[in-house]
Amino acid sequence: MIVLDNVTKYFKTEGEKKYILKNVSFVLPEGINLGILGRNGAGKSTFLRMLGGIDFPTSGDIRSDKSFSWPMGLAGGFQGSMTGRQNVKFVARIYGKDEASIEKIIQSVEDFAEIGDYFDMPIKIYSSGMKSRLSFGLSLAFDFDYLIIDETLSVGDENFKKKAENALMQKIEHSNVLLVSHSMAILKKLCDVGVVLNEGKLNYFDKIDDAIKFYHQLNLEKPAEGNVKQSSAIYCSDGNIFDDVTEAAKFYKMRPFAILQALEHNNGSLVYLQKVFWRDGMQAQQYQKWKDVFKEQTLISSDGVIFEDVLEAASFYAERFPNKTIEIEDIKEALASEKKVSKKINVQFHYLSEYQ
Amino acid sequence: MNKRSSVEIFKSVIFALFLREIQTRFGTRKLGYLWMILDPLSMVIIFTLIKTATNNNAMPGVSYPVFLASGFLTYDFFRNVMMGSMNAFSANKALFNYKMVKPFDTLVSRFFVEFLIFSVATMTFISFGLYFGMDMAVKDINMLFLAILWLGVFGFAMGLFFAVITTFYETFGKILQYISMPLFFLSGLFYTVDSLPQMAQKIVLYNPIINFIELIHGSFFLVLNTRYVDYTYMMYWTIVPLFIGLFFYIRSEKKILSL
Repeated sequence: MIVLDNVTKYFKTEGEKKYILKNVSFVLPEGINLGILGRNGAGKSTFLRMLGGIDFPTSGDIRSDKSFSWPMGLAGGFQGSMTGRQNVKFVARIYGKDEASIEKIIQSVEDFAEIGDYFDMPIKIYSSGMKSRLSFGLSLAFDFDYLIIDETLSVGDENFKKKAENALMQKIEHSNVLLVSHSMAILKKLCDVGVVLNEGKLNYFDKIDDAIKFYHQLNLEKPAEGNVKQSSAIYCSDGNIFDDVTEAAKFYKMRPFAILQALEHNNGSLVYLQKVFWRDGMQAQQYQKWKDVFKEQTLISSDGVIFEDVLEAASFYAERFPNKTIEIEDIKEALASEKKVSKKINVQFHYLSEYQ
Repeated sequence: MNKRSSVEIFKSVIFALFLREIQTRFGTRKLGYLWMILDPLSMVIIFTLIKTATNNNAMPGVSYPVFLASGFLTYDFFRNVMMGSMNAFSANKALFNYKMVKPFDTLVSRFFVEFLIFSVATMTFISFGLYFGMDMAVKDINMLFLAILWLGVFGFAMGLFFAVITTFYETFGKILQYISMPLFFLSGLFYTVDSLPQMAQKIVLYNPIINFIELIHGSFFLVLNTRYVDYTYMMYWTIVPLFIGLFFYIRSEKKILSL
């Protein structure tokens, strides 16, 4: 159980108080996984850190007799010149483990991280993927009542993501999570209840789905202001969520431009994939195949990009492959050929009217 | 997780921080070990050479290199404790994500690290001295130990005080670095207070550090004495910053944590 008793927290920016919580009293019942939502700058991370006891309210009181993890996936706590093993030992020591349990913890982290010999090399030569493997493994090696997770589940390659998620699901059988994430999929998967932080108010929802709905509503009502950067999360109609356009493009093996094009010009419809994309805070549109984009001359490439005509296609590829001297003739040639492939750039072209 | 008492937590955190500090400090720079000896050693050699060159032997019965070494080593210890504390909060900021690590712990562990370095350096110097057959008889070893420890606590008190201030006023650290530069010359490291003209004596004795160094020299060498040492003055300089530092630390701990 976590009790918030008349909690106020604000930061002063340019003399103005920016409230994260304003006179909030709230009880989080025992044994429940909490998802925390809010627009960027609403103070989700600060709120999470306050729950975990490493940040403090300006006034009021947060009480709990449970144990809390450090923010999971934290790589900042590592000392670069020390080896992975030494860093793990350090954390085990501050938690007062005896030598035998330290050995056990080291073993389990080493097994989880799967970084081989790097485990005995200085952290500063690690790739960011290796670092997150190590820190994730470290978090899982301890037993806490509450795991504190701040947007760290999207690190690493696909294999590691799956492994981490599975390990986390196992962990959750005995612990609870307090989670901040931009990924609605992860929130839905891990959390039972949700709170949405907004302008100093804490809106509590019994069901995480309702919290997500409220959050989207909030985003629709109030588009992000100039200097407040909105989350760049990209949603896809197949249920995938990506941190940004590049990640989405990588996943579907598209050009990022194709996804941008869909988002900005075609109501989110990506014709090539027959899927709909939308940004965080936007509402998903209906998939409108090529109603909006169709003209007689419209082309579609196997990169997923749509072009108004051959000229546009040529200049698009000429710009991206300056060494290959792409000209209009090349595209025309490709269209006329049997397989519709331009061998120069290895891209297939279709007229949209012919494309199914 | 079973609950641990706060003393147990404190002990395990200090121990872990201590080992971490040693690993980082000497793990990265291979010359780290060497430097803690070379720094005071070069000073001792330089000033001995100057002394021999000017042929100014004002201290009969005192081995000048030993006189210098005892001063430099303890002064370095003090300075490292004080100056090292100043950036301890910001340098260990990432560690405050672990709930049980408090900013104060980083100061305490640094104190122990500095003490270890001082001890090792001193032992090395003693071995050098023995090898070269220098006279290293100590007049009052209890007083000597007490003086060194007291100097360490004084450094810790000043360090705590400065650490809290520099957290909120960053420029203060820079100012302090300039102020502390002349201290090297004003702390009686290569002269005794006795050897100064009376006017100068009065002025330099306002510096608390020279009182400590004078006490250390006076307890070390048979022919020197401690009659210029003002114990009350030293006590004020230890207790006042310690308590003011603690007072402001306790008041602002949460602020330091959430910086």
